[in-house]
Amino acid sequence: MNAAINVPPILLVEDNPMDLDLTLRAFSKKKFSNQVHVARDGEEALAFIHRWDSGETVPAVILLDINLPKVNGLEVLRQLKGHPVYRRIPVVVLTSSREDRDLKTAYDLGVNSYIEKPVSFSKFMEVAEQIELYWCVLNERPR
Amino acid sequence: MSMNPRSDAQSVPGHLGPENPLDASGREPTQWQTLFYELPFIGMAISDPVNRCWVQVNQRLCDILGYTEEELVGRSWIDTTHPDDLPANLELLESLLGGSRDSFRMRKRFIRKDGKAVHTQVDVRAVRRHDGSVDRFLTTFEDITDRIRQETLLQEHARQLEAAQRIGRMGSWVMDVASRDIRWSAETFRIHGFPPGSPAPSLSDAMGMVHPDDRERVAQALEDAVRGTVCEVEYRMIRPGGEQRHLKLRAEPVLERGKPVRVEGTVQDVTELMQALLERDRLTAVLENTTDIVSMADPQGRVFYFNRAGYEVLGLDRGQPLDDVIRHVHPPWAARLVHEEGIPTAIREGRWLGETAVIGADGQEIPMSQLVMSHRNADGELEYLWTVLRDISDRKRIEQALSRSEQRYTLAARVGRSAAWEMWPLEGKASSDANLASLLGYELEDLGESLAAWMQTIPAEARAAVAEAMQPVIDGRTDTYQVEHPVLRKDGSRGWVRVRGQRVTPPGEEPLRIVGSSLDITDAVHAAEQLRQANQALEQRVAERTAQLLQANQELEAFSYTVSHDLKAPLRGIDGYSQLLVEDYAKHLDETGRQFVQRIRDGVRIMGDLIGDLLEYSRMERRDMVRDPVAVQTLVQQVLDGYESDLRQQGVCVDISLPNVTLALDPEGMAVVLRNLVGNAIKFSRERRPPRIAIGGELVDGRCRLWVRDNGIGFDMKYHDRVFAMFQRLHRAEEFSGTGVGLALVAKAVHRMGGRVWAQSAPGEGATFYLEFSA
Repeated sequence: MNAAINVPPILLVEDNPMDLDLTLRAFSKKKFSNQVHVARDGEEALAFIHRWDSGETVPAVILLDINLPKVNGLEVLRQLKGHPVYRRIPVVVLTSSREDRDLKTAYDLGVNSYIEKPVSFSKFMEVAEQIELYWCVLNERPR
Repeated sequence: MSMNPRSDAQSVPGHLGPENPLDASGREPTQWQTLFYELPFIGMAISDPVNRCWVQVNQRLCDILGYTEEELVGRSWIDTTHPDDLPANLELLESLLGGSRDSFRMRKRFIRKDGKAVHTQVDVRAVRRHDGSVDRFLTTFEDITDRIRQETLLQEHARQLEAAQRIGRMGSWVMDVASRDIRWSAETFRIHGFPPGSPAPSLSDAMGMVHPDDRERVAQALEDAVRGTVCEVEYRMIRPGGEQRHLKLRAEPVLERGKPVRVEGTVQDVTELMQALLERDRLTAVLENTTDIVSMADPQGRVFYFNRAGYEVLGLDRGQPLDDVIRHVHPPWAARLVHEEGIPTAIREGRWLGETAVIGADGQEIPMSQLVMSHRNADGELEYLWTVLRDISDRKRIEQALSRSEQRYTLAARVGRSAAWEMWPLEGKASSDANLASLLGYELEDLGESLAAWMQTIPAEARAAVAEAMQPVIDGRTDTYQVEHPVLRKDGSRGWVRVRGQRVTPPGEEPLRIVGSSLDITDAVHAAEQLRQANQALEQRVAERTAQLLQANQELEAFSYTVSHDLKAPLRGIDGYSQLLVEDYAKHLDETGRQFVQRIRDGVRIMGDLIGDLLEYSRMERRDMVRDPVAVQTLVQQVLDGYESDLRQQGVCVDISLPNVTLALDPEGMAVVLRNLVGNAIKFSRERRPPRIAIGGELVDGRCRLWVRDNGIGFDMKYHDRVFAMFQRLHRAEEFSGTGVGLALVAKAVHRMGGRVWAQSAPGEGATFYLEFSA
């Protein structure tokens, strides 16, 4: 699995099991080669910091939902972007909300991209494909 | 008494004979000479010039002197001569002795034997010898005592006449008819400005002094008198010095044998009289023309004079006897006052002044100010009473009006709960009307006139503030002050007053006086307090409501979150799994199953649109609007670009006619508006061939009006308001898809941008949607 080792993972932070399942299926249908780590709430997401500290591969992009149990997605974003090292990890907010307030806060905190989840699954698959193409293939990661 | 001179002579030997006084030539006296000598009318004497003794005297002389012949003969006549007349007598005798004359006449007095003086006129003649020396004096004596008395009397009469003429300014004159010579009395001279005794003037001189205008009348009067008529004429005369006098001339003819021989007359200087008459006329005119009633009455109160005003005001007839009307002049109460108080006081003290009334011509009572005065003569006897009545109706009316006005003011002030007052702060004095007391629940006496007592009605804690408010007025820095302060009513309750005071003493003058008013504002203060409390409660409620609203808003936001996350998430699931079912499991379904899945997916799509629109509307309601410059032409083009494929597929003719304006608007809100309007236009005109859309605009009165017009199916204007309401659709979903949110979203966005939106349409005739914003 050299390819798997060479390709950094994607961290998906998603609490809704159906959304999670559909997202993973979309990735699978689009034949993503990336390993996908999943965090089911804000706490789990932040817990990854320790895993990265202990040598686990830092993800190519973090797909972050906002409306999360325990620790809100924006708080997760704030802590990530406040981190001296991991602030460089691209974070894409992928959410149902297009609220101005969320949008503004997210950008203020340093989000790299903000994408509304389309209701239509076919459109969502297109979105997933674009994200993977852009952040995992085209985008040059920080080193 | 008859005497025989001979025997007398014989009885006095030596005195007759060769020295017979009647025969100085030495001849014997004739018979008639002797008779003449004894005439009882004339005293006669022969005296010796050397020893001055009487040689012979007749009886008459003896009678005159009161001596007997024996007592006189041989006696010097000097002894009986009045000493005062002696020198002149001796001097005259000397002139006889000296030969310068032969006789003289003089008046002289003798002292009779009884000591009385007797006036005589003596004629002395010298009987000379041949050598010219005086042999004897022959003297006759006439007793002129009566003549002297009459002459004196005459002189006295003349003097009195002159005095009378002078005092009466009346002179007399005489004119001879034939010669027209005139004679003037002393006073007549004086009247004409000449000293008495001046040369008598001629008639023409006298006429020359008459004022030219009066000359003809005077001449006529004189001529009438000459013809026998008694005449009187008044005229002006100019004195030599130019002074003019008024004269009154009276002329009476004196007849002799029936014919006028002279005219006698008087002339009187009436200048002063004329002036006095003039004065009297003036005074009378004043009395007659004054509007005051003046009347005079005798001490018994009988009126004998009313002036014109009296007749007019009282409506009296000139002919009416005054006694008859006087009882009706006053109304009974006034008549009583005048008779019981007025007249007695005037008689006792000289004058009385009071207010009475008279009954006027119309029978109405007229209020009068009446002055009664008594007039006494020099002896202090009451001569008459006079009274002056002045109509004081106006004053009474004013007084009544003033009184009414004051009552009205006081009442109005009381009703208005206000009081007037004045104070002299430096004297510590104050006074007020009764209203102030009633305002405070006190009696007027309770307050008194002490400023300190007044201050006691102010609660102790408020006094300093009141004093502080007054201080600038007391110092003269300002003229007015105003202060609102609490007061303690007598019953212990507390009220509020608003006090306004104004200094009325000019600065620098003493004593300082402040006049002002106090208004009871207890109700207002209470009302204000209640209002304040109500406001507080209201603010509290507003705050609560605001909090509730905020909470509701937050809940609404939470709801939006719920919709966006929790509603969209399952929808996404349905869509996702139905999609997967179609893609991965279609072969396991028959045709009906596949149709069912498709229906599910259609429903999901509609619901997705609905949720999307609702979220859009919710965002439009809550988001912060900005005012950025929006270039209308550019924005419209961007919106049209968004619909590029739809427009192309349906072959829509688009006509754009927009002014090149930039409006200060919320760009996103405006984009939402145009997107929806253009989207609707495309949707509802898709059946037309070709569909037409016109987007235009114009500037009207500082406002920018934009419109989006289509030639679509239109709508009935009775649904005008419904098209802008949420979820209101005029068409079935299978005809025209839509959520019923679009135009509600347009309306919301336009209103939030401060604009207006409306539509004009008719079924089948397309629709025009107008927008208007301030440019």
